[in-house]
Amino acid sequence: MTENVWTFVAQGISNTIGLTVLGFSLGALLGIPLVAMRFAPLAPVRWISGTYIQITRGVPLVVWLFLIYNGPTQFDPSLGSVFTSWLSALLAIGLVSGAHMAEIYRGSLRAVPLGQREAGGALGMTQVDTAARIIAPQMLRTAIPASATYAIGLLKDSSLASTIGVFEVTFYANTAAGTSSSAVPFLVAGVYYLALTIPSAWGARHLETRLSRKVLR
Amino acid sequence: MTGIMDDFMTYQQELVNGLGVSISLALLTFALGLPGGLLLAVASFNRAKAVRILAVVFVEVGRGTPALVMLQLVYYGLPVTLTAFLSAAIALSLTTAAYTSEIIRGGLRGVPAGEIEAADALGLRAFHTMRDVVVPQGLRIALPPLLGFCIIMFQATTLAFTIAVPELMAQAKSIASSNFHYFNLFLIAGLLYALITIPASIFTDRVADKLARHT
Amino acid sequence: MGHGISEAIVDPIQRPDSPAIRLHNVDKRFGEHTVLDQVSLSVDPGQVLALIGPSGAGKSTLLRCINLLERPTGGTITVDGVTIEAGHTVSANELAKLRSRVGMVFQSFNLFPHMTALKNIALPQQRVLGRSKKEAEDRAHALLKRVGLADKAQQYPTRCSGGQQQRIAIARALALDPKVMLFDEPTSALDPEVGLEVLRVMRELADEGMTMAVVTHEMQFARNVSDHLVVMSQGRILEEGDPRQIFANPQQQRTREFLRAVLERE
Ligand SMILES: Nc1ncnc2c1ncn2[C@@H]1O[C@H](COP(=O)(O)OP(=O)(O)O)[C@@H](O)[C@H]1O
Ligand SMILES: [Mg+2]
Repeated sequence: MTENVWTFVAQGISNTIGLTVLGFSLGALLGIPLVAMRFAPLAPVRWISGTYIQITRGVPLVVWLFLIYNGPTQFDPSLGSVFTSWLSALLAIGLVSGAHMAEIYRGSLRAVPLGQREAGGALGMTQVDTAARIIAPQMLRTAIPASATYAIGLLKDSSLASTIGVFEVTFYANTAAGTSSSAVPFLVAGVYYLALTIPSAWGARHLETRLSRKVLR
Repeated sequence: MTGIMDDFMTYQQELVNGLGVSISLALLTFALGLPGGLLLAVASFNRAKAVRILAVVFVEVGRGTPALVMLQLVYYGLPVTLTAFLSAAIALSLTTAAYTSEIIRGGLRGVPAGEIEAADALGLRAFHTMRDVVVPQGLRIALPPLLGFCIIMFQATTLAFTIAVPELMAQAKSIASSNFHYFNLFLIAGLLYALITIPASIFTDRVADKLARHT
Repeated sequence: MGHGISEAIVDPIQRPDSPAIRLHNVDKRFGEHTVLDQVSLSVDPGQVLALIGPSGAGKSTLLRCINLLERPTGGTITVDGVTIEAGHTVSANELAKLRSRVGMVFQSFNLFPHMTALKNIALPQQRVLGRSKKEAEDRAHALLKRVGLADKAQQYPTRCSGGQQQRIAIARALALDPKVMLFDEPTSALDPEVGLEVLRVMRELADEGMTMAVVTHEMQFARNVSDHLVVMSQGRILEEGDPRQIFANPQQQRTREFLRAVLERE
């Protein structure tokens, strides 16, 4: 077991990465309408998105996972085959990261100086034009590093998907630990996560310094 | 909707007890992890390079390892046999220490260099400068992100159900698997968590605003 | 903050006529950049030295070398009988000993904002001199009274004006019974009328016989209060001597230009 525990646990890497990438993409998309609603002229619209974000972030991911994975079967057991482990994990991660991404977008939008938003208007650009040409590029400079940090956190959080049976790194470690009754597989899993997160974190930091230098110029 | 209310009334005792376990677990995690984070943050400014390197390695490993993996490692991997509750508290406080050390480090760095220089000029020893001047102010600066992180760690106590700690998630799961009201029970659990996390995050925002206004 | 094993020479015998501060051939380089170039000067006990010169001349660096906030790269520094040679490592004990003899006041006050005025003054006494809380607070109250701020004891620094903060900072330094006080542009961050409160305290201190080294842009103070004037430029001493004489009849062309420029501004 100990010789091939590395290869055994490694079988989960593609699912860990796949779940992280797809879940993050879903969240990044979902965050856009959410942040737009946060700045909507209508108060109820702002309120709905604010409440949605607050609740989604306030409930632990594990609860979302089980709510989506097991919840529907209370009403119709056949829904269990619709909400598979994989789909449920993707939805739960997408849901939660959508709320977080909306907050990241909001933070970076606030970092754009108000003067520039107004200057766009004064130059006769339409609002959409101002948003697309002036605000968006500046927003991205702060949003990208923050999103990268968030995505790296998500990679670790994707380990929770093992609790509803997604075959990712922690799931394989759990299986191996069960059959060998040793903690070594978790050590192996830890090494894989470090191997995935530490270089990404360095990359994100590098990106951040590069982008901030661009802003200073 | 009535079904949810009924389930809550029927299993109120178990659910509230579970929430109590979640809260105690979180409190023990903070009690162990936050001083650990402070210690690591201070160590990262140590004169001895070996100490600094050790601190950085601990922090990087602690942050890079998912809390769930940390939990399993401590529970199954430690040579001594601990209760599931204590294992969970230790594992979560290792994660807490690693993350909060970075937050606290940022706070300590936020203390103006002029004050440290003044302390030096007065002849204060490095230890006193750290304890009396840098740490109290650095912690104040770090308070809002620390509170935010504590909310995240409170949510992370749900992971303890995987090693059979009878916290809220474990209770909800065990009730649901007997009456099959999965949706109701996980919804109730979610609401109970939100009942704590949402006011806590509103409080955190208030604290952040207040500190921002006073500086 | 701390430093290795001691090799510095401590001169235990202090003759009464020896200077309170003596710098001999002090050099300070930051990398390639020479900021102090063979500076020698001495200040006798009870004397007030004023340091003037254009910005970037190295005045702050010189002052900071005296209490080793900057380490000189060459030369020797003697303060109240303690001699430190550049290049030798200084032990934490010796550093503490030296710094306990030298008080320093900064342009930006650098009070500890999370402590009341009283605690700002009392805490260093407890930590550095090992005084009891009671002793330290009694002393702090007495000093606050002396700088005219008896009613500010329980106030936090941010609730005090700049002039009040600087006077608290002076009291904080005095509380450690220094032999020498260093001032680095203590009034530059203050409005002129507020600066006067601070200058009055400094003048009283000088009258009581405190040895002082003051970097200043206040030409009135330099002329009327100091006993000895040093004019610096580009890391060197341009000229030094009796302040009234230098103001009346500067010997160097560069001194003349500098004085004309600052006096015109006043
Ligand atoms: N820590 C430092 N690193 C590099 N250069 C410095 C440092 N501190 C001061 N200098 C340089 O030394 C010169 C003298 O500075 P300073 O002593 O502050 O002058 P002054 O107080 O007379 O205005 C300046 O050119 C300054 O840039
Ligand atoms: Mg200066």
